[in-house]
Amino acid sequence: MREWFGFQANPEQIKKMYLTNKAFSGTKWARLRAALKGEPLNWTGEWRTNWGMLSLSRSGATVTGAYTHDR
Amino acid sequence: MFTSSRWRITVRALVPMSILVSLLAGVTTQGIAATPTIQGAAYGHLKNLMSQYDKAGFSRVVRIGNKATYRTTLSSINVKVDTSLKPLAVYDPNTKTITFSKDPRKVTASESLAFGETCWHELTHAIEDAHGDIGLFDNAAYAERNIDYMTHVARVPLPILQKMEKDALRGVSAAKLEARWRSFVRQIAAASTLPSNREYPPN
Ligand SMILES: [Zn+2]
Repeated sequence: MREWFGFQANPEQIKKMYLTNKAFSGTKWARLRAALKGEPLNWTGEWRTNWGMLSLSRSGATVTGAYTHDR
Repeated sequence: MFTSSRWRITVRALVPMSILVSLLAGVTTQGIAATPTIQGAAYGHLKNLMSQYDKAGFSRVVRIGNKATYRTTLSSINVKVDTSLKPLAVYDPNTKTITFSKDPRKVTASESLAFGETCWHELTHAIEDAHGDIGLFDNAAYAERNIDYMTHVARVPLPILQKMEKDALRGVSAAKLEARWRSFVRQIAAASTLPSNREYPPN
């Protein structure tokens, strides 16, 4: 019946639009796409920790890290 | 620089004075070109409401209604004003009339969206009536099931989605954007738990 009104607000369709419509393909929408894909947050890079520098890299769903332990 | 122009209308003797006077009276009381009709003014507010998300990215796949459907419905029914009316407006399926408690021509810019929502509400009933959906006559929950659902979506989840888009462009973290998205989805689901919708799902 809602077709009578032309009403349309479907989360699945909206999500698909954000992920596939080219209006949202630019870098300024990258975080939104990541949020909607449920991707792991981007932790890659160099991190200073209590145990020295930690470097993280990601391959697919796996994040690997290496740190320098100085005592 | 400021320029002014002068103009003059010469009325030739062909039009009797009495007719001319009544014509002019019509112009002043009904305000022909100067002020719109009740219908025209109501449409202006309706359009404001129905266009409120036009600039959002999600407007590609989201709309709170088909503007053309609502416009043609508004022009096919009767509208009048009765300032003694208690509700904001009512639609009477017997006479195909929407009665507003306030003259749409007197609605200010800051009241326009709210008034537009009232127009949208009553026109939704008129559209239901045009499709032979006569629930208006017997059961309030049934009668309000569609417009209650749509009103909730327009008022609560869509502004969240709008904020999410603005946040995304401001460079807010993916975690915060995800939280906005979740609350949007939750609010869409909440529309189905409104009192009228628990009894009668929108359809
Ligand atoms: Zn109603």
